[in-house]
Amino acid sequence: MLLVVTYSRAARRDLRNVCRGHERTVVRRFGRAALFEATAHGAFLSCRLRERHSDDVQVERTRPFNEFADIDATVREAAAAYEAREEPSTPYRRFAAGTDHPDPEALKTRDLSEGR
Amino acid sequence: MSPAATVRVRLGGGGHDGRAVDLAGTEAPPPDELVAAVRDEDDGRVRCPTPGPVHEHVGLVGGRAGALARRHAMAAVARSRGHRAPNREQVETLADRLGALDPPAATLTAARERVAEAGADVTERREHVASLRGRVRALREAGEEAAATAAGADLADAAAALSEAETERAAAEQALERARRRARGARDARERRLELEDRVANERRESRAALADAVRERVDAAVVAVPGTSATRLADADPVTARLALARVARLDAPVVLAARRFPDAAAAVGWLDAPVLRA
Repeated sequence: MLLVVTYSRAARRDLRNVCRGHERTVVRRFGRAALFEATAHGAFLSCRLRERHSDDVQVERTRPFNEFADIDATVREAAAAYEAREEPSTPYRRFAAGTDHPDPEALKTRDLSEGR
Repeated sequence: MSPAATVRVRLGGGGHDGRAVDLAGTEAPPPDELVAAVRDEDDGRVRCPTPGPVHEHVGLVGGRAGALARRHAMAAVARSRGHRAPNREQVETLADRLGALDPPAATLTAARERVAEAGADVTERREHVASLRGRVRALREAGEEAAATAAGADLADAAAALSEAETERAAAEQALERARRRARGARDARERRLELEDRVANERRESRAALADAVRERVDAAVVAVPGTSATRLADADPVTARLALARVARLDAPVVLAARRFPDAAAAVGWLDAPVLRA
């Protein structure tokens, strides 16, 4: 999908109008941002907004996140284990220390895999 | 009312001077053209004091006056009477801060285009290399050594060109990545500007609300006094009634152009509005 984020009042107003007029292409709206369908029409609307407001419109292409394909199981398991921790105030760094769970630095330097 | 607040109208052969100018039944231009002449200092047809902001709202009554933004109009009326919003300084401070902001550019268009072109170039050259490789193999299998050698030289050139294209693609991708990181900072700045714009807009809205409150009673009273209406509040008044009531409460030096017929003549309108009038 296309994530469109606006950075000025004028751009935000135009995005709102676009969303109102093209419900089929607009998947979701959030305040000054919206998700468009990954279709040529979604791209057309994004390009129009960028044409009109240049740097005040950011367009990113997003794709669904599959936690079973995009990362290995250790990350998923670490998240599940941390959310099930007994002491809610334990920071993740301390929680992961001395376990098989990846430490925060390892998480930050590891990219998601390209696979779907 | 200052003594300068007189109106001189020069149209075709005839001239009309004074606070009450009645152009009804003459070959005068249409009302919207008259009001444009009132607002245009360089238009010699109407000489009058420069209209203030409130004239934008009430300068033309009837005709093609368009929509009336009542809250904005009431605030302008209040300002014309010398009212000032309690948050005026706050608005000015924020507006100054906003005006001083100049967020850096976040344009990535050129960098994106370079990546796309470099990528397409690599694809094309890779296909070329693959087809040459196939040709060399086919020639060799056919025993045509000389042709195979020539094709091999082409293949070497193509492979070198591919390698160059791949280098360019890598450079383009790195440049885009750097530009993206820079754009993040620029977008932070733009986000802060948007927040400030919102704050200024909210403060301005509060200003207008406070100013409108300051004159609402007077305006509603004027609505009741407008000839030819049964409305008792600005909110319920038709646009002609609303503009007349607002104009009566406003301080106006420049003439109001009357396209609607609520007064028997221009002098009666001047008396009621306490403002100069051009009756179209």
